[in-house]
Amino acid sequence: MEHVEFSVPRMWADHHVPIVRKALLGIPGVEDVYASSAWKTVRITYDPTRVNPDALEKALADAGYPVGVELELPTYPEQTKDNAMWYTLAGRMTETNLADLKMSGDHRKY
Amino acid sequence: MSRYIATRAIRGATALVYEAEQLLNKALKELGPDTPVQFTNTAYYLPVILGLTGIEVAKLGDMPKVLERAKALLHPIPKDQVWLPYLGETLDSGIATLFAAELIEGIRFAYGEQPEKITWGGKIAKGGSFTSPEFEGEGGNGGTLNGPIDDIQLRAWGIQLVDGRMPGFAAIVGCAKSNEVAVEIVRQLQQRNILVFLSGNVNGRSIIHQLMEEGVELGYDTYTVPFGTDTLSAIYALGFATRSALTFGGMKGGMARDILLYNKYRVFAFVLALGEVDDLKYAAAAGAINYGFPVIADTVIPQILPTGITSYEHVISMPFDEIPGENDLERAKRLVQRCIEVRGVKIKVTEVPIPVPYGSAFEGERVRREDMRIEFGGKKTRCFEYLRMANFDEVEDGKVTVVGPGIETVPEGGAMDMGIVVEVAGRKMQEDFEPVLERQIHYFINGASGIQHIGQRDIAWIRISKAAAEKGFNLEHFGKILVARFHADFGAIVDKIQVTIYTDPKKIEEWLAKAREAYNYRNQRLADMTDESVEEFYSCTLCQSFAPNHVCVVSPERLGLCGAYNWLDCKASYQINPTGPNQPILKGKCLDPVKGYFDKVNEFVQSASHGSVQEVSMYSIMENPMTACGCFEAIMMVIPEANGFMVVSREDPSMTPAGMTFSTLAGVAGGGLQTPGVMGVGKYFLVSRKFIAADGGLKRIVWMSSLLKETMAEELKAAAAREGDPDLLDKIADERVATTVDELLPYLEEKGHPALTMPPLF
Repeated sequence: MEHVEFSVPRMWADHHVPIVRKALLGIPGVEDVYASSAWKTVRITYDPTRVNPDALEKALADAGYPVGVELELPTYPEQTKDNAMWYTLAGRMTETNLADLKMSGDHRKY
Repeated sequence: MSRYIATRAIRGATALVYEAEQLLNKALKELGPDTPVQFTNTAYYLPVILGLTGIEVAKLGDMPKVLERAKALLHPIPKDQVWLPYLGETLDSGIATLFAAELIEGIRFAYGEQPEKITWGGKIAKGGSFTSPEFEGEGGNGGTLNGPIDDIQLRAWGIQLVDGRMPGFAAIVGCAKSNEVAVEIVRQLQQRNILVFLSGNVNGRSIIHQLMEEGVELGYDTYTVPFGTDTLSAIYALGFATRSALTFGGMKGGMARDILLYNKYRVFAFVLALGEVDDLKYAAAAGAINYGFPVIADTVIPQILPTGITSYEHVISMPFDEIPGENDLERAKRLVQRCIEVRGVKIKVTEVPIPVPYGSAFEGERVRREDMRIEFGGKKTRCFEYLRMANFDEVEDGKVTVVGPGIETVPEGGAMDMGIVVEVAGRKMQEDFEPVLERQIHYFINGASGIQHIGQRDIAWIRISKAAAEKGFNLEHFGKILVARFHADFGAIVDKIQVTIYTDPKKIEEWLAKAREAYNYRNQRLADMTDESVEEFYSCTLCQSFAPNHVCVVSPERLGLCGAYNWLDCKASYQINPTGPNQPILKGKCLDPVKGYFDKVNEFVQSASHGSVQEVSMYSIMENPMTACGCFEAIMMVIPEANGFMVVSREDPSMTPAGMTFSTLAGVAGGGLQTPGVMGVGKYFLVSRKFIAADGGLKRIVWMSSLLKETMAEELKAAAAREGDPDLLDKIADERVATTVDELLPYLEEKGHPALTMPPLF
């Protein structure tokens, strides 16, 4: 028996794990699979006379979990005035309202 | 605040919102925007979304606007070198995660993929859902996990949640170190009566699989509810928490801050993450922290120790193998203990000296015939229980005697006669408390794991499982349970207690005759007890911990709307705890004997409801009816077209002629609001002489859930005869003949229902 470990960044939560396991355990020659969504890696124990790592990689890609391919996430907050919460918050943190400054007294200036 | 946690939670939230968006677009394309989205038996739509945003998601087309809200709550992932105040952003991302998870589960419902089918050892488990009685049945359409808890069960647990018997819930996510540890964790929580919600997996293996392999009974009855085998299904735990605020706290959808604070201060819950923690688990944990629920992990993760959003620490790491203890079972115990400390749950545990685990969570456990060692009562043998007051010198405290042969004389699967006679003495004990205490025998005995108790008095039916018998459980232990529990729970009125278990046939005859004489005497005494024959009623403000403005007024002829407290119960409760929720209310001057207005009752209600209720009519639903918390057994509502009222029971999910199901109606009837024409009631109030006496009594009932008609047939027939219409029950429609007013009216006319000729209600 041999082991191989792949990085599978798209397996980032436990509802992806059964899909990955099913895809691999259905291949003749695969003995055991440890799929970790926490580390986004999968460790496979396989019989080298029956299956090779390339076939395992292909099975992962076919199941929607290509090896080493990061999940490309959109940047939801557009970092413009799009009413995103972060923008409102960032504005509050980085801009000083002059009216606030006047009310808060001279010590704020130093 | 931990940058590591913030990073992973924000990344997990962003990924999940993205996944929800992809899935929603696919569903909109494949199923269409009008496809309905509905969790099981709930009037609260997708409850977390409803509670926190006020948006009612009823179909796929309602989802995009929620998705936009979720996106707006996302934040950029923290940079490696830049300091930012991560907490607020992490909490926002947590809420975005909850919205996305609930949307995904809603879409899964639309596709028919929820509740989840469970595979076990490669096979689909047999039977129906865990919470349906047919789960033990053969074949069926494949076993499913529970999915979200329905409104019926939420309300059924209501009284236990509010009176502290059920201190809170544990949302367990992932997979324990071993099956043995999984069972021990759940047993520890069950013994403390903490609800256990199960979800998540590690490497495809969930704690649900572990418990199933060990034969642990899962379902509502054992307080152990399997939601699903991924972390997404943990959203149902937060849906439960949100609905607690909506159901019992009188809050409305959109009152996000109030709902979160309500949960922080009133719902004692925590998250226990077993095994490795992925981005989604971090993100979901951030969501839970918004509710004030701390997270405890049994692996090495960064901690968030300062208090703030939660009462104590936010995130605790307790690597399982580093927990001090001689073995894994001891480590599991300490892990649970730590969880309870971190949440600040106050729990009273009564030590019961028996060889099997003990706690309220075992109350609903069934012992099936094939698992049974022996039974008492039922069809083949007799079984009775009788509690009586005795003089101090007649009772030897703690003494348990077995008179007759033991269970070893009966072959496996057999049956024998048994009588349990309990004698109590106490300075504050009164004869009136005998039936109140006797009824507790059912709950006390049922608390033992592997013991099933059904019925009461001379129709009691008890089973001991093979597993319990193998652990050494025998007849004497029934006595030991009762001695321990009566002392612990009723110590204020019970000073001494002794228990005798009879299996000797001659003695059974002798004591059964005495018991029946006492039952008859008590029946007569209860029948003679009327509202006019007593000087005071009792309040019940137990539910104010959940519904702050609600107050029940309990009289001899009107029991509490939860069905759990009658006048005698309240009287006993007052003796046990003179400053507790059941206070005597002197009736004072009777202002209107027909509608049931009493000046002192009004005064009390004004004060106890914090001014929100000015007057209460004891016998009318149309004028100043009593308010309700949310625990009601049934809801009544006026049907103007039929000149009468309908009664729908908590267990009935069907449509009613009012155009609403029980769950929807509950939103109108609960939360301490006084709504003329709508009222929550205990089902035995229906057969009281004072039942809406001012509005015409039982004859005004035009529609009633068939379940009520069947389970209370004898009592209802007797009440109908007393009202002068013995065939009334047949004239009352139910969901089998009418679910709309148009169907109801011809039925009433055909049967000649008396309500049609009674004076108009309006």
